Amino acid sequence: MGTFDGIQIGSSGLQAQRRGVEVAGQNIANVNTPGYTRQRLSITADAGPVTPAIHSTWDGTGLGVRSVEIARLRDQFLDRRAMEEGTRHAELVELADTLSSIERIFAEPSDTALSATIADFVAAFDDVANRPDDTSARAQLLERARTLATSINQIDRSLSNMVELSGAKVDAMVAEVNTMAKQVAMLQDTIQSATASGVNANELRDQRDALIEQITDRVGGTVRNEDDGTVSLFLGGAALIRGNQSYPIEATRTGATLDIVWPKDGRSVVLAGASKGMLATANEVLPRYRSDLAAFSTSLKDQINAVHATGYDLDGNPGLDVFVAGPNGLEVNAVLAGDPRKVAASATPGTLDGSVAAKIAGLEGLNAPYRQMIVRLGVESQSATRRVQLQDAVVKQVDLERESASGVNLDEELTDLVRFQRAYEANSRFISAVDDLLNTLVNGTGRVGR
Amino acid sequence: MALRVTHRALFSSNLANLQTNLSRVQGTQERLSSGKAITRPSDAPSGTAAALLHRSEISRGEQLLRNADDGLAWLSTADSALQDINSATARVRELLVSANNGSLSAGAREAIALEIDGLREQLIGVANTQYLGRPIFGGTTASAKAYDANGAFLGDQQPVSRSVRAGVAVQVNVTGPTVFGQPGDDLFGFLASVSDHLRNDPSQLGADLGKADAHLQTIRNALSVTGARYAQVESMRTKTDNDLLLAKSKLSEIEDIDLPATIVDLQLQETAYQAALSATARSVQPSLLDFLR
Repeated sequence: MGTFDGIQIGSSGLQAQRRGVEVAGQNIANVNTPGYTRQRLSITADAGPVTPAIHSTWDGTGLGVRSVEIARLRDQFLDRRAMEEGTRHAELVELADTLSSIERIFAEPSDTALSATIADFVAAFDDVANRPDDTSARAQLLERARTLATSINQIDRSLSNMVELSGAKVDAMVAEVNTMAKQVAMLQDTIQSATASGVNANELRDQRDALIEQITDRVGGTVRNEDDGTVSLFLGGAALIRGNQSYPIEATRTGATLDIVWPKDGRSVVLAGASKGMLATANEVLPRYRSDLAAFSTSLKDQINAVHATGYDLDGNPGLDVFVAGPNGLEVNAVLAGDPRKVAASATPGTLDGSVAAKIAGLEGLNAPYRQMIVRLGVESQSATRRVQLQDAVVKQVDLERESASGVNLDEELTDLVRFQRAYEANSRFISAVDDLLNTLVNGTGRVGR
Repeated sequence: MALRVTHRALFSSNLANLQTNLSRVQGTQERLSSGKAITRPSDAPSGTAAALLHRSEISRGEQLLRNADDGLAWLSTADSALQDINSATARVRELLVSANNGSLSAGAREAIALEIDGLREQLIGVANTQYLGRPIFGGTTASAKAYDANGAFLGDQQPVSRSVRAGVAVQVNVTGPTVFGQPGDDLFGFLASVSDHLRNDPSQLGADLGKADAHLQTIRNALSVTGARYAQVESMRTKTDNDLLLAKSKLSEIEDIDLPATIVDLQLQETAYQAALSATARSVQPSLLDFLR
């Protein structure tokens, strides 16, 4: 044991306690930083040399304290779970949002939505049946037919706009994911070199982990921790990020079908999360409602036209088609629209009979397919919303657990602060004591009897 | 595992709870201000199905009521025209009875013949009674008249029907021939011959009296048919009206909110929100900082 080892011990203590204060300070400073992981100073007693040597004066007392590392208190399994649940949540939210937008487009049940328009249109046939000679009743019927056709076309246009919007969203999201993947790769590059030179890169890791979580929210994927402190992110079997490399993905359109592919071989990316939800709504949900609407509009057109064709107009000519399929969807036959006399209400040419019009007004089940579609939409949207709510609770719970493992508790940090502060004080007192001892030795020795 | 609680967790879970409370308050207020329990299909899919069905029932019912009203107007127009025809024809019969008395002078018979001519013109006028521009005895004819000035039938014998209930159409017209007799043997030809007999061949008047009775009978038959149809349409109308009321009350049951219950809900939720606010205020304030030094 050397003479000055006492000062060495005291100084190691001062250093360790100061680092403790600093770590507490860093934790307190980041109490509100999203994605920040609380850090803890890991210290250990310095046992001194353990190998005996010839001239060693080692007497077994320790050599003070060493700080080993500043550790991130993070639970990797919770991280995994949080990513998985977050991914699932993002996908469900996408679906539920789309369905609720579709509900807003149909705007049922109300006195102004499509079902009311259909009812008005059909009722107008009864008015014509009651007064076949009245051209104003006929004109009203044609106007309502036009309103009905326009309403159906507008709904279809809104749905197709949503498809386009989904496409734009997917494009933006892909760009975002590529940018974030690149950032992660750059961060990992720095982390790699920092780790190699023994520098603490905890904050960079926090940033990287937060970015990776944002990426998995969007495209899913599995994370693998590598030995060099980096992580790899795989989508299916292919890597999006590996070490300091990122591999961009690309949004493509094949006809009306959206997809996200690897540009190098054109294979579809295995997706989860928001992107999966977006592709599902753009490729399946929205087209399904569009085709349901189109089927309904065709059946409406055919049923009305079929009965109308059995009648005769005011001039004794047989009934023309009321609705035709135009380039913009359902349209009122232009010939009919130009001349209300051409509405075929009569079963016998040249009379003011209204039985054909009455027959159309009495058609049963005309809007039954539409009703079914709306009910299906309601059920689908309700269950999607419920699933989001459930998943919401799961995500919250996992977040809470993660926060519990990694979050900063101020009481704890303040306690640590006081603890390290006191220890620092005690260490400096110890150095004073050693100093006193040395003072006695240096200045007081050899002056006996003076 | 004992959960280690951090301040951030405390804040965020408090915030989440406040959000939940507030969104419940918002939902209830939305229902309260719109008065609707179902504003979109996902609020209640089965309720939406019923609501859509009831709405179409209501719309159809309202149209059926309009149809019935139109039918009733046709029938009551026909009824009053038939009353006029009946009394005019009864007057013809009276005149025939008095003319059949052989003691009448030629001048007196001429006067009766003139009155009969007048009645004939009046009857042709009534036979052309219109409802909303259509001759009610003309069937589905497109012409404005059922009979021309000479008493020739211009219309057809097609029924004019009104849908008054789902699948039920009631004929709301009586055609000229069912009231005045078939063309060639109708009331107007008969009156012309009566007037001729009065002037030139009084011996035929006895036989004419019998024919007048037959015509009166036809007219009264038409009257009773009209009355029966009127009653039928009216009873159908009442039924439709009842259906409509029922459908409306069902729709309201499904779609409209229960006002007192919703207000109580709102108050409960507001209370819960306030409680959550005060709990948050208490739990987020203290930390060790308040007590150190």
